[in-house]
Amino acid sequence: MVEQELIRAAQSGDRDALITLLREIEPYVYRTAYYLVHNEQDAMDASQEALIRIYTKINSYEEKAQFKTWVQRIVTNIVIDKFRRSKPTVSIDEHNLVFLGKEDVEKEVLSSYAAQDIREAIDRLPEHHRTVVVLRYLQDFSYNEIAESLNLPLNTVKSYLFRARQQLQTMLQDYEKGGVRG
Amino acid sequence: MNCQEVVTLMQRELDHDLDAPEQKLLAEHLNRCPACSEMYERLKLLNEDLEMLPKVMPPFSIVDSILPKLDEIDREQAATATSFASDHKEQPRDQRTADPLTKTSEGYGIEKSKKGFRFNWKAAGAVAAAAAVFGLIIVNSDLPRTQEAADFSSLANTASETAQNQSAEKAASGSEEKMGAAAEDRSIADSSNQEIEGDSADKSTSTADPKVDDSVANPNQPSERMKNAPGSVAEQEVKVPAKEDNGSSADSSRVGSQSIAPVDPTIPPSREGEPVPSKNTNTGSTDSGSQGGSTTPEDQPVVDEQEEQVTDTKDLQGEDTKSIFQMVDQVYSLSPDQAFEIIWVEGTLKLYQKEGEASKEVAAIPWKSRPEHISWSEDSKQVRLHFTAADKKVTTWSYEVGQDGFKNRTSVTQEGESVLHHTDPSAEANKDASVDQQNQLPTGQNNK
Repeated sequence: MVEQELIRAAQSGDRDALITLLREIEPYVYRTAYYLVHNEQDAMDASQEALIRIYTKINSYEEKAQFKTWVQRIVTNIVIDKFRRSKPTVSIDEHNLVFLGKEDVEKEVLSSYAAQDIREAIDRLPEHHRTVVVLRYLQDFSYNEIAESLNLPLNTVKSYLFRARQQLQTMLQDYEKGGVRG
Repeated sequence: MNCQEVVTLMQRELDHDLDAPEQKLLAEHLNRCPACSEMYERLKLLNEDLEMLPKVMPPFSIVDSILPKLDEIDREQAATATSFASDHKEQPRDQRTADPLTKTSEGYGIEKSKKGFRFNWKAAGAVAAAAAVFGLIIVNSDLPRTQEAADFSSLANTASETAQNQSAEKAASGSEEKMGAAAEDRSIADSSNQEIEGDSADKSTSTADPKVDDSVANPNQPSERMKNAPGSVAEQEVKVPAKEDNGSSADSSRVGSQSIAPVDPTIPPSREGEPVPSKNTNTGSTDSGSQGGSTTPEDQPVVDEQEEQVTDTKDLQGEDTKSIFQMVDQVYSLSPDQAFEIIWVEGTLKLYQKEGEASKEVAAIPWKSRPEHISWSEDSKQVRLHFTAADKKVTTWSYEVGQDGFKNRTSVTQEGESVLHHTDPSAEANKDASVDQQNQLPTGQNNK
């Protein structure tokens, strides 16, 4: 997403390049922040903080890591440290992840979930699960890239992602039934 | 394979993580297990929905919103680096040229620090000097005092003096005593030089003497300037008191341009004078020709004294002085065809297009390092930013400029001594003014 050359120029003290770099990554930073905090104002605040941190820490980036994962690590850390409101996430009983009952199978299978419901469901995921989902779907990261961003083992990433999808699926199913909503 | 294991396969399939045999396994299981098949359909649906989540964009530019903060950070870093810089004060200033390529954050820090902190008290010293000059002028001249007080241009220049009087009055009072001896024009000039120096001390060889004396200011650029001076292009470093400067970089640039037109030989200095601490650092040698007038200071020694004094007052004046006298560091240049002006100020490079008396901002781009000086191609279509690194390598960044702003940046780095070609628009205008202004005095010079 960003040319190495630009990054190097920024690291060598070219403020022009550094600002350009920040502009390029700004949408990616904001997108992650937005889906993690689910609130425009907080997302802007977190993004500002992340970009400022990148501005001041640009020299600590090493090319052995991907720049985009380095950026996402900064954003997610800031959000988790400061912006994630303490609202308790709904703990999802894993035992509820049973397969569908027989009743209205067809109807449910074919209906698409409302985007709003999905966002709300994401918002209710446990922290790490939500973060993994955001990186996977909003940043199009691979398992490895997610692992690099979050400094987690690959298997943990998969585990979080799989569980998150199952939880989402369950929550959305409940939404459709007019259940747990809210 | 049980259903639980199959769910994992489903998940991985969503992420395109299955190889062919695994896909086959999954398909076979789904064919004979309605429950798993059902589950897989739901997961695929969810997966599609997730992939279609809107790629939200920020409602406005976040980077723009933090630019002031970033500037602040740069200043803070500078402050941190200040102490470090002061330790090395004795070094030739040339070596600390800002080079965008090689400069470290520390380097920036140094640069900025001067601006923020030391600057201030030096500025105060300058003001005092200006006040003294003012007194003299009042006695000796009838020049019109219509000029804007804000400009502290060339103190040495009598014309400018009048203009400065006003400003000087404001600030001078406190520091006058210390400056006492300032009564002499020379001393005044020197003090002003020092101020500048202090500011830009580490910055580099940049000399920005709107009037004529680059050579003085910058050891590296000997008399080149005199040769080129007649040219219309001016390169100036201007330091303006923050007050005036605030929010009006455009104004200052305009001022510079105005000065180019030699309306009144006596007045020009004041206008250009935006470069407040104008320094008449006239080293007697260079000035000799054009400027020099009676008011021109020639003694470097005085400078040293001044500097010390300034230092002393520094502590006393503290923050208050800072707020009042904060200087803004600028580098200004007018295109040969006088259609465009370019100014570097506070980390931003701005391009203005002249429209009669006024100037319209065409473009602004962030540029962290202070250019040593700025020059133009003869056709006015290309502007060049010059930097000299500590190792004497000279880097020149070029932009094509026009109504579309800045385009096609290129850079060239050369070994060897930096050779500056200065053409100073003001030089022509000021020829008769007998004023030497120098915004910066090289360390070597300074120390006599």
